[in-house]
Amino acid sequence: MGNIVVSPHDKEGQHHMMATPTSNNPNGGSAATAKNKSEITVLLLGAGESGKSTLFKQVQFFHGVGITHDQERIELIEIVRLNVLENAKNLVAATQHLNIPIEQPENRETAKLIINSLNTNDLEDPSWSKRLYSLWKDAGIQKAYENREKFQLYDSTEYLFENLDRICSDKYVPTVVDVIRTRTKTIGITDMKFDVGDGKQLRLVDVGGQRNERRKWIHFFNTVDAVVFLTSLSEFDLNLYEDNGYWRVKESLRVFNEVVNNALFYKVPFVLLFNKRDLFEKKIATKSFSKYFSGFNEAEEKNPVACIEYMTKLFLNEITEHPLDTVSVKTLSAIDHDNSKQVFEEVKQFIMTQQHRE
Amino acid sequence: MKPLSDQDLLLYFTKFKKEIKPRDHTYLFTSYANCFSGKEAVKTLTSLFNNLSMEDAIQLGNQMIERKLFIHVTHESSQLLNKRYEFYRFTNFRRCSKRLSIMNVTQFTSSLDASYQKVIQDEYNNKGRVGDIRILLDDVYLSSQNNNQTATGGAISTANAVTSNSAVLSRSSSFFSSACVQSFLNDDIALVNNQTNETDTSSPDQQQNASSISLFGKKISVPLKIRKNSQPSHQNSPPMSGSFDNPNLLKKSPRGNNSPFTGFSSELSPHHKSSSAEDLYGRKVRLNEYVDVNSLGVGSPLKSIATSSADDSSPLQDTPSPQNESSVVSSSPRRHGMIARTTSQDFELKRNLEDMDLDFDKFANIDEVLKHPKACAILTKFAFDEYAEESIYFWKDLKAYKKESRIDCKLDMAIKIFDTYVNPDGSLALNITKKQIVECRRKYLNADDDCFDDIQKEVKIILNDLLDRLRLGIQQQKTNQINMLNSKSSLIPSSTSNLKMSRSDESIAFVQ
Repeated sequence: MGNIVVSPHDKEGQHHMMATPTSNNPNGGSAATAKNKSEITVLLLGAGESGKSTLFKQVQFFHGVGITHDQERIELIEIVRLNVLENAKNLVAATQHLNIPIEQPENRETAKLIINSLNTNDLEDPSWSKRLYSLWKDAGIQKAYENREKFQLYDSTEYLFENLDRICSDKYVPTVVDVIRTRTKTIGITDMKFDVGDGKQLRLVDVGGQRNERRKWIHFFNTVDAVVFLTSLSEFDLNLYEDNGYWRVKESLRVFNEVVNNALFYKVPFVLLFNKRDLFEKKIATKSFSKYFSGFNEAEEKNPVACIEYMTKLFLNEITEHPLDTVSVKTLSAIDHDNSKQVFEEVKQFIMTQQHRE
Repeated sequence: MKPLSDQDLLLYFTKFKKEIKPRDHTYLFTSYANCFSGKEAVKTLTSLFNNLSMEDAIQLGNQMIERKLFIHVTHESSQLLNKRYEFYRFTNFRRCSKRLSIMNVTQFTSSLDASYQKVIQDEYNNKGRVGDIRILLDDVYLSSQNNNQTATGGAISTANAVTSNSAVLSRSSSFFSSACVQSFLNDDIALVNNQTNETDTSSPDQQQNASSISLFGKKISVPLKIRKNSQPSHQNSPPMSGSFDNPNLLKKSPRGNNSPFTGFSSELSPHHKSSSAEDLYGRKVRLNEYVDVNSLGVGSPLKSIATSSADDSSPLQDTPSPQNESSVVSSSPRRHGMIARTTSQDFELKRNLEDMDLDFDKFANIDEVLKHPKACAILTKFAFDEYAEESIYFWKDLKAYKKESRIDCKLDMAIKIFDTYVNPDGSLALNITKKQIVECRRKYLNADDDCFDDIQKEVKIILNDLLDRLRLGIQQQKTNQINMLNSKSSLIPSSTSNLKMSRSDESIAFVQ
């Protein structure tokens, strides 16, 4: 038939697709929760680059899974180096975009090579360490880096460039910190299980945060026992990765609103984590916080506590349906091992007590 | 003026094309054959549709240019310029109309074809518009769409009325005259384009008409056929194989039971069955299964899904139909519950684990993995379990797209790829930036080989990451399981529960 006839079917099909996971999961999911209540599923949600995977990796690490062994980290060399290259490329592209010339001619040569031909295997050559470092120290690049809110750049750029001499060698094995600081765009959904005592297992689910990834979240909504929502404090001057021109805070608030007011989560303990506190404190020292929030008192803008309080209020205002006593708010710096361990323990405790109350 | 739909635009364009008279223009000692100036075009457009202002006319023209219905003679401008010495010419209409209304054309059914053919033939006999059949078709189609197909009948009847009124002689003569004119204007390229393949219309008899129409009919049916043929090769890729009709089946069924690791648990079922019957025979069957599986080049652990569903049918069955699989999901766990496991099965498991490891260490990069059917199958299953399947499907579809050489199929595929993967509302939208989407939207209708290249780069990074995750996952699972198998020797439930990864939990839940 012509498209008139087909298109309604198509639409129906799509609806089905949206509906199936939800209608499918209860059979498997609720049966699972009924039978083994010993398993607690915790979802890590949040917009893109809010640090879900970083926290996930930290938790993996202090439970001795995954990246603890050298053998497994070797597999990740490629990713670390790719991060370095991506960062370098983005910076060089930004210098062109922002019209800031790279000053040293030899650095310009390096930049050309980076854009055109460099790949991760080349980074085994230690000479690249020097060249990349001198590029990084170039006044033009540094100026672009100061204006990094105008383009997309990973948070770990500085760290990676400072550690180039280790990364650019053929004997390089990524350290745990390296792995935690690298950024990979999570695609799909990964999970991990570990024991939390009392014969209970905690299942931590990590998801991707970009817009298209969010539609996959729904697959887990029915089986969830607790939600940890992460949002980045330091994103107040940044725009979205997937849509450069959309303010990240706005997106975070929107996603938070959708998640927290979801009927499926009414009875679920909810943790709101403000991530990247370390970056945030550095950032407000140099940048104006009140410029982005009209309701914020300008005199307080250098005081991180007041800023965080303001952000908290902003997010809690979004909660319209969810009972407030099952919401917990914490700040976190996910790249800091001790801090994330402590915060995660608190979160775990909170979830467990909430579970008990039920 | 708001952007028009293809159909509407085509209507305007039909009128416009009928009205404007391309001729040879000379400017700065260069002559441009068979074209019209921008000023002429704007004038024609405004005079044709008298409610159009100058700006609207220009915008309408721009939309036509955007769809490449006509283009600047020297490709200097992608805008319609209201000037005397900017010349434009019509493009090959067959190609553009493909570009415009491909969806409709490919979706014609045979029953509709007959009536349309009649209408077309009548109209064609009446007016002798050879090359414009396509436009005409779209005209007719549009009218039928508007009036919910009742108009089709109307169109036929009016067309019939016209035919009966006008004498047979007159139509053949009118046609003949147009052919004569055409032979005089040998350099008239646009007309040649209009007249398409059947330009040697020196004998404008009924047979000729019939042949042209049947040829046209073939053109319609070709894309449909191709889609059917491509189905087997695309088994894992829902969007291209036209299984859109019930994506829920596709989504749901393989999920329950198909991580590389659950594969083992379900794989046990046929063994159990046979061992409970007669041991020797059972073992034989199993061996055969393994041989077949390996020679097929599909990952044996994954293969197990097929074998478990193929108790009675042949184990060679490549990928089970969704219905089959869903039934397995529900049935296999029950079987696990019934049967105790033997040490030989443990051994099989161990062997398989090592086998899988072998597979992935020898691949240097993602390209090799994707070329290797077995490894690719494992990766696909893994991606499915991790809800990251869209990248692999995109990769596969893009590969097919690049291989395709027929322009019409290619365009069809480009549209599908765009709608499914690139469009943020698509059923399998990729994780890419808006900038990339906008860039791609700008050029995908040209159906060039490189229009998805930027996205491909991005997807490659994603796939690399996925492969790393798979490797890590396999490594972890393998050590876990080998430890497990070494330490314990009995009961299935506890061991199968460790044989799983993420999404298989649902099926495992039954076991427990």
